[in-house]
Amino acid sequence: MRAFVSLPIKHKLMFIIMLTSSVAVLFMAIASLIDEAVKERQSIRNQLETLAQIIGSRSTGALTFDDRRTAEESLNALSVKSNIVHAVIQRANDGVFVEYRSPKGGLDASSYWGFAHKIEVSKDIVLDGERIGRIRIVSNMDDFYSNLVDQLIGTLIIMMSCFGVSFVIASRLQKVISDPISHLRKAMNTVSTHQDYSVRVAGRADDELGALTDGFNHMLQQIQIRDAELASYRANLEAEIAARTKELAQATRKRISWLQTLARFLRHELKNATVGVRTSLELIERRTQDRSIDAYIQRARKSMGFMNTLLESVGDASSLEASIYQDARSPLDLSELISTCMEEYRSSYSTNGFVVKCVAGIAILGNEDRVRQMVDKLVSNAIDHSKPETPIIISLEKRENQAILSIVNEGAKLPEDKERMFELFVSMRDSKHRRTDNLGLGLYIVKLVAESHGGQIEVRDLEDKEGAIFSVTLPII
Amino acid sequence: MEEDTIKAVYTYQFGKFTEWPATKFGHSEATLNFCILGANPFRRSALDAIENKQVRGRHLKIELYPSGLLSNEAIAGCHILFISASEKNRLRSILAELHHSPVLTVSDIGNFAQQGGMIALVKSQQQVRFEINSTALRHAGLAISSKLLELAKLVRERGSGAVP
Repeated sequence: MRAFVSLPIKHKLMFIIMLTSSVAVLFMAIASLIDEAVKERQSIRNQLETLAQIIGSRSTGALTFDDRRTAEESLNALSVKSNIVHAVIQRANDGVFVEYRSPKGGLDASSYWGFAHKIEVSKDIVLDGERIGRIRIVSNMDDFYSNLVDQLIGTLIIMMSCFGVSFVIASRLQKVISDPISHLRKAMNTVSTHQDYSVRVAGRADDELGALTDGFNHMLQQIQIRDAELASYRANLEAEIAARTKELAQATRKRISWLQTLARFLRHELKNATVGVRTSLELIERRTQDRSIDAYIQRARKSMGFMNTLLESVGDASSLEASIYQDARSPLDLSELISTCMEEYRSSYSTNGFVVKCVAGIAILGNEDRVRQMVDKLVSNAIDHSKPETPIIISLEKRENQAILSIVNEGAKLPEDKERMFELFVSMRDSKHRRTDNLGLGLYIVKLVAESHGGQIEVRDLEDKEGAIFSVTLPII
Repeated sequence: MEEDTIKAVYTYQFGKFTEWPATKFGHSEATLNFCILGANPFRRSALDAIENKQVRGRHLKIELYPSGLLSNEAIAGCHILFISASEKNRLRSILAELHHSPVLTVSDIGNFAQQGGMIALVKSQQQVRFEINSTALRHAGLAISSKLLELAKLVRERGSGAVP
């Protein structure tokens, strides 16, 4: 049964048709054989009865006048019927009058596998209304069985022909059902393997299979339409993204160009202005004898110097953003770079100690000067915010495909809006730490460098003590 | 079985194989008359064996004509006529008297059939057999069954010789 279940529909149909027709033919054949056998048997019996009737009737004279010879002649006529093995005429109330035995011998009861092996008929012999004797004829069933065998062979031939004809018809007709199904299946395979929804199933019929085919085609069409819509949406989206990106880039360029223009303008105009101021200061210094004024002049000069620094910083910021994305990149051993930097820091910053935990051999693709600049800014930021005599902890580790550079300092808690630290011209130091050259450029540059290298920066409070941890994540090559 | 009984029974049995013209019987309940002409050769026991037996739906009746003379009435009434051996010498005139009347003539007189009788009883090899003169039967308008004919020796009237 399991084997049948796993057969293809085509073979299943053939099997069902052939089984049904064979069973029908077989039943018909058996019925016709039984019918034939019954009729044949009846026919043999009828023949024997006729013979008994004729011979009995013919023997009335011989029986009446005790003429055994004539009676024997009558009986011996039975020898033309080879299947008659025994015949006997008895006189009424008397023994055997005459007897006939086939020269071929009697019955062989064993030759029919236990089936009936003889037919026996007996008839009264009546003369003038008086029963004068009885005739009994025994026939074997050779004819019956040989006829039956002939019949069986004939039936088998007919059965085989029926089988053949129904096989041919079935193999043609099953296509009506199996073909649409196999078309459907092929189409489904094509759809699932090639994702090709343009396939359509051929064939038309007004039955359930036709409806199935139509439904399948309709479904494919729906999917195709939806796919087309999706594709067009996607194309639109891409175009929109491209447009937005372009707008953004334009905006950035505009901003940078505005910044540069502003910086140039300021530098130019303020330079002119400071020239006037400085000249005036020099004149004041030369003309006056009052030395007490020198302190004010020095203060004014210092402010002038700060203004210059300010101007340069604005110029730096504007040109930094413009150039940072155009820097040349090359493979860079980050571990080595940090080790080199550390030597300089140790000599430059004597107020704090450094703890370095650096995994060797971490390389990134980047611009050495920019990365160095980023590390400088982070370290100087950490030192600016650290409590005196606390160490700055610098670590470099590898997590999945990322290099993580962390710089930890103990110190003040981070402000609520700590993300703003990375914005341009934002400085969040408290006033006592404020230094003249800090314009809020440092962390902005760190962020620019990290992002231009495909990385990012984040900052958070230390968990166990007051302080901050800055982490830069950069992709490893 | 005694020979006379056999002859009586045979003669009566011939009636079963013989057809008389319908006119021979007056009415449906008429008897079948078994007439014995001349000295009765049958003993009582032989006649008892056949008397009142059924032949073709009729009772057999025995009539004796010991004088050997047949009236016209007798000829009309008899169906079977057994001619006794005592009438051997008168046989020719008796047969002439019957002259093709539909009466089945039976006798054990030698060469009875050859002399114009219908059925002759003949003893051969300790058995009683019979000879039939079918010509005489035909002339008398009697039909005899072929079943009887095949048992008999068929003879012709003297002059034409016997048919084997």
